[in-house]
Amino acid sequence: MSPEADDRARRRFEDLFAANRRAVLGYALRRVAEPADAADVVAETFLTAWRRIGEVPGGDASRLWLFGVARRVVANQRRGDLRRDRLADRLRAEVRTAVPVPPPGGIGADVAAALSRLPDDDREILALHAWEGLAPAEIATVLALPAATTRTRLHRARTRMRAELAALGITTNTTAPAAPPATSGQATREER
Amino acid sequence: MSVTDHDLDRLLAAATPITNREVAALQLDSAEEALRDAIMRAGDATAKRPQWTSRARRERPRRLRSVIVASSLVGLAAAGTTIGVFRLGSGAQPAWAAEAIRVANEAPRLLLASDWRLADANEFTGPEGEVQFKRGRQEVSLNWRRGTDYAVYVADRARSSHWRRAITVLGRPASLFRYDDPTGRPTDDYTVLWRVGDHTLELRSIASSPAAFEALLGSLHEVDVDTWLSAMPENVVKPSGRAAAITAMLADIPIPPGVDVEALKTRTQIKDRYQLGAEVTGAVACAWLDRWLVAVHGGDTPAREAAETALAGSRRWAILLEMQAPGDWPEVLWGYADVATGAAAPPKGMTRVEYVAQTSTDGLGCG
Repeated sequence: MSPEADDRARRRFEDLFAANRRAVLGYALRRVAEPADAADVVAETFLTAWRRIGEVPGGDASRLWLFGVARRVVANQRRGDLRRDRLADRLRAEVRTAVPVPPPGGIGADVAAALSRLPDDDREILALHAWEGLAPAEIATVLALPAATTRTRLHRARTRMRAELAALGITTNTTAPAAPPATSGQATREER
Repeated sequence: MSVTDHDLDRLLAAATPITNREVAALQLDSAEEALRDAIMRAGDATAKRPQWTSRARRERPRRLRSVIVASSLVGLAAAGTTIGVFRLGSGAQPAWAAEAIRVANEAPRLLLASDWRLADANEFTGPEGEVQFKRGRQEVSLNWRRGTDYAVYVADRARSSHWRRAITVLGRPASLFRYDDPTGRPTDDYTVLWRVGDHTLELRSIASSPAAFEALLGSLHEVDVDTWLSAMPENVVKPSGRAAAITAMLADIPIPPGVDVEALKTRTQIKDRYQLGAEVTGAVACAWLDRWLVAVHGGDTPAREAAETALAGSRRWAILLEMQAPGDWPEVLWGYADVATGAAAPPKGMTRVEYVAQTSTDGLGCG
């Protein structure tokens, strides 16, 4: 690569990192068991971005691209493929002490319990919508799904979440619009 | 406590493990800068790479399920399938519509053994797509992506697999992986990656053994455009069939001014019928909801009533009734129709107008 191209790549990455580091950290902190693991997610995500800086889309789409990478990194972590890269040593150590410990109990515990009982796909769609604040079209980009499929999956995920909350004693409003249909239980077309 | 969709979203947001504000306040700037600098020293940046379509790998299926299928189609059981809208003219050698030929020419055209039928196809164009094959209860998915970084995909699959073998697929070098479970033990879930021209292809399936999976691969064969197009399942609406399919879908649907039906018909993306139905009904419903909003704001009672009548009628649109079984799109659309017509209440704290105006973009893709 020419020095000029290298400079452009470095500036591009620095801007990307500055604009999105906390979004990716927040994404990771909300999904991993230990704050330290979030540091590794951030490191591996941005390492991927640096190595493929020419592919990262511009503008707001870059954050969705990063979320897509982070999602796969988190999935690999959950499968036991935890990469403790030395790159993240300092961040890992500091995240352990910097991240506040949430208070026990409360409605958050009930919601977390209900969420944990949902299938992974449903949980992730709800999290991207409610925690990262993504619109269905943006979620579709992160999950690489058609937009219409994402919308219907969001609807389905809400229906299932409502059922889980009801099982925990939090009732649903039967007069709400788009009253949840009965689950078909079909094994096919599950991607709908 | 009552939980509507709106309340549910707020409940979930309030239960976030850590808020964006809390994340922003973390005292980690120095450590992050150190990470950034270490990354730039450690990695190799290349300014120019082929465009990588950030298509996330699907979660590993917990049971036999097709993953993603590429442009190859099995002409097997499809031999008896009538794909009239795809063929032009008559005679032994059908003439395919130009757009269909264009898509077929751009995509790799592979089929499995004759006992595998092409069961499903999502949206795809020549450069990228997925299809699924089925044989009884067995499923195979194959996908293709053009211009992607093959090495990145190989590295990605390797992270979830301790078992890997270099093989050949149709004479081309390929990487075969056997996925691990969370404890690191091998499963019966296999995937293979290989390149055809500038496409990266991936075929994934459950198999009883590596040999069984390789036997499946051994049945892959390249076919011509005619065979490939003939193998499309009936639920796939080919480009040349799109206009006719849309005309039929709209037969019992009132179309307000502002819906560019001709533009809908001329798009060349291949979709399955469900996705096309969502696109078409979404365009019409959004247009009626827009007219309803304008009418309410302007105090135009006749226009408001006309929109409400049209939206109430959506419960009888044949395409939506057909789509009920395979997915939830109709329920989403009817939810908005019900609020606009007054058949259902909006979430607590929102008026009907606010609910439609503020959430229909997310819910239906309006605007």
